[in-house]
Amino acid sequence: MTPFLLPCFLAACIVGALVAWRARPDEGWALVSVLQMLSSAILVGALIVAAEAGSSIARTLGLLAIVAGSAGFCGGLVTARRIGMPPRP
Amino acid sequence: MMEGVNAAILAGWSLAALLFAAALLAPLGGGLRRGAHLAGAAMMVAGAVTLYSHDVMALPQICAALIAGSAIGLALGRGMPRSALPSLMSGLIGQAGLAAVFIGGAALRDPHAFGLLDDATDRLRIEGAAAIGAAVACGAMACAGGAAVLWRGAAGRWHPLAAAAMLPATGGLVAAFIATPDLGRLLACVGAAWLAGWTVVKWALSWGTGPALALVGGFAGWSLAASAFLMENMPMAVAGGLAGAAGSLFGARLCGGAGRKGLADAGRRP
Repeated sequence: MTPFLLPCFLAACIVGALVAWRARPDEGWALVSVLQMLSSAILVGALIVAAEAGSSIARTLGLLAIVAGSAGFCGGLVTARRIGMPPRP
Repeated sequence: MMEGVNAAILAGWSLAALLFAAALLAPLGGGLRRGAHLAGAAMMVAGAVTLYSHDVMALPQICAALIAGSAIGLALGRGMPRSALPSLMSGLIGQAGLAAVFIGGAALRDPHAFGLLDDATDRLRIEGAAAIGAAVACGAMACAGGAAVLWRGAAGRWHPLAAAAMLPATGGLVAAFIATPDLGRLLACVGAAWLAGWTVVKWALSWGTGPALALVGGFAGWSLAASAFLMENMPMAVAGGLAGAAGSLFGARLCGGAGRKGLADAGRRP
């Protein structure tokens, strides 16, 4: 699996670097909001841990990771929508 | 191991990865809300494929944790005043780093469940130990960085020196953990990475909140990528690579270049 993951990861790094290189400073908050949404993909890993873990301690850590990841995902989605809205007069 | 992945899972992974890439590209045209929706769709696809492709043993607990976390996130996102949204974002990125620390701890505690043990020696494989060490160290740096942005203290003169000392120290401790994986060395990695993340982000805060937040997002992205190699999950690897490279480079550009002024001004907007 790792030889298959590595090219995808490297291609994503190149795309991310190009986006960061082309972004204007006034697009900064929008880019940071999307970075927060992307980093909440850790929720997928937390789901795998909670689903596969055999020991109770590992499963508890996985469930805590799910709570942290889903809070980041839902909070990030609401925050990005609010930042994207024009301010009320 | 490509033969171990069936076509439906591969199609779902590819769709989620493309949606993640489109989400990062959307803000360049001013479409932040479209980018957020694309990232949300990517997460839904990746989550659905994950639940389809794994034997889920604790579905009620997982649903309860998902609902509790979503309620916390919605309450924070909707309840905060608009002026506090950058601080909220730093806290949420720090939470992603904390989740990576939990994932690394769970993998060390139960390596057999994730196929990380060497069949011949029954010890943790070196690539598994490297992924655990990197995920935990980068996650602790993201968590400490988020806390440093929330703390809002002034950057001291010693922060650059401490950052220059703690970053190699963290790398050395991760290397020591890879050589002999045990819980004590992992906790030492967490402590050193926490200090490194705190001092680096405090230093970046002297250029403004925006560059510091971009760096914290980069740390969280690298921790996500390391977790992806640990779990062998392609959408996570793509999202981690996108967030890690974009956050680190954009933060470095804003700290070092003339363009940083624009983001400092934009900080008044939300």
